[in-house]
Amino acid sequence: MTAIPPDNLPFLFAAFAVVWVVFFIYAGYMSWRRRSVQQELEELREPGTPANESTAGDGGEDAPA
Amino acid sequence: MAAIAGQPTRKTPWRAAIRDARLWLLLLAAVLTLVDGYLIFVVAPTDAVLGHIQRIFYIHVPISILSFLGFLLCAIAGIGYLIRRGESWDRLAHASAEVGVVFVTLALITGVIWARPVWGVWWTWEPRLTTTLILWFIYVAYLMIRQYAPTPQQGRVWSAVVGIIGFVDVPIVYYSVQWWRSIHPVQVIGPEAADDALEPIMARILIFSLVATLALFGYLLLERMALRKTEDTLAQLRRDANSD
Amino acid sequence: MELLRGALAIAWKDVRLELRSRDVITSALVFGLIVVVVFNFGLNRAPGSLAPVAPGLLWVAYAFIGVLAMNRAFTRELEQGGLDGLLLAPVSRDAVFLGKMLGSLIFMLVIEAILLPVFAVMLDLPTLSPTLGLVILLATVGFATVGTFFAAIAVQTRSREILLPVLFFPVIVPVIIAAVEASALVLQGGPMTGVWTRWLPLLVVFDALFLVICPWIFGFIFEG
Repeated sequence: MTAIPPDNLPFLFAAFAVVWVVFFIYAGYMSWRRRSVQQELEELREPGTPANESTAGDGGEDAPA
Repeated sequence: MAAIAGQPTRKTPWRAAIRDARLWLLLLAAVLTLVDGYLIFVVAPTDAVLGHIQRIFYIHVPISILSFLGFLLCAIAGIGYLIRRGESWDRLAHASAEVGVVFVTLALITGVIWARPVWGVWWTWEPRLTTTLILWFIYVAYLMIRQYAPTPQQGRVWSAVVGIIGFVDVPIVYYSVQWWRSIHPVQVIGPEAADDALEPIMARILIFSLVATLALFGYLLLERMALRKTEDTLAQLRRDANSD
Repeated sequence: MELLRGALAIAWKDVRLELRSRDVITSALVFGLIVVVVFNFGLNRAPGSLAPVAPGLLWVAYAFIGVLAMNRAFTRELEQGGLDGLLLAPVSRDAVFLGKMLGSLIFMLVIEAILLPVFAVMLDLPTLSPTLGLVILLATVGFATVGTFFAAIAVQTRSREILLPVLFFPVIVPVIIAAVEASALVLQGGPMTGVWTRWLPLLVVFDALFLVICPWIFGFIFEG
């Protein structure tokens, strides 16, 4: 064992970079995808029966029959 | 969280509450992570033996622990789904498996990055590392089952069943690999067990990291469940439109 | 024992079917031989015998054969609506599971028994013993239990050939480890304490656990 430990900074940097990049991409992908599905949902709902659910936003519990 | 997800939900109040919970969790996770970064890179003492590389430990360990939590949740929610047949149980199972796979993948990657400078090899068949790899395979198969099932209903039941079997299998894998390795010791250069004799300050930072990562885990889980729910609603609407 | 009667009837049906067509046993035997030949080219680069890696080869070959045999056992049910007939039969789902599992177990044991002497010659294995037989039996029970369960799921999907091994191998890892280590100890002919204190108990625990869980949740597979 050497007295001064090797710093190995590239490894340290790589580990944290991978973790944060993956988390950002995953979270970003999910919210992007949810928004696009949400939009499609509203477009589908529009022409038929108007305004079944007044609460906009998070996606209906189940589709109005 | 499971209790909320398990409810067949009265409409608006719960939904709004969950959406708020998601945003608050995101905020909380962001703040905790920033503080955590400060603790890891500035406050934490440099390890006397391993040097700076030891700081990987503060994210590797929480990520590994939380991937196990994800698979535990997945098995519990799978059992819940098989018994109660609530959509929300399946949503929880699906979300925790997917988030669990993301976490276990990161645990493997950071494990490999840790092994190279510390142990002198990229990979070693150490029991925890090996069990983690097997977990990765099992839960990737879990997600594949959902993809390949002829109907969504079959996918839900089959994946619940696979989740249960996978979780039962994990301890046996761990012990068998441990025994196996005690017969075939792997050449390791450098100190093997870095997690023995942790300084108190290091242990406290590790616990803080665990809490920060838990907040992030919770956020990702809720976000994934919300996405699943929106997708389900769209699919349902499409089916209704087609049947008219 | 209603359960056992039903299971035996289903297993007997599979055996009779196999006696008539012989397609599983023949193809699995040829496959097992070709695996050993291919491994020989892959591994025998240094002159000398394959004896040190022989237990590993043996079990890799057996595991591959197991996947092949169990996939076949269930794809056969898909032809001509056999699966529906099986599910409509007046027996419980546990009996269906145990029956299919026993059928696969019998096939695999027969194939393994035929291949073992051939392997012993080709791989230059030192000894054969009753303990090795016990190891093979217990490990094969584990293979057949987990394999039958996953095969029942896999055959109902689009990609059945790939899904079975992807599900089967990770779960079966403890059995492979135990079987390889135990066989290595037995074949070395040295002290066998490890076999009795570790590997055989491990196999017994694995088999018992999955023999309880798999029939218990087998019924869910055929919903919807």
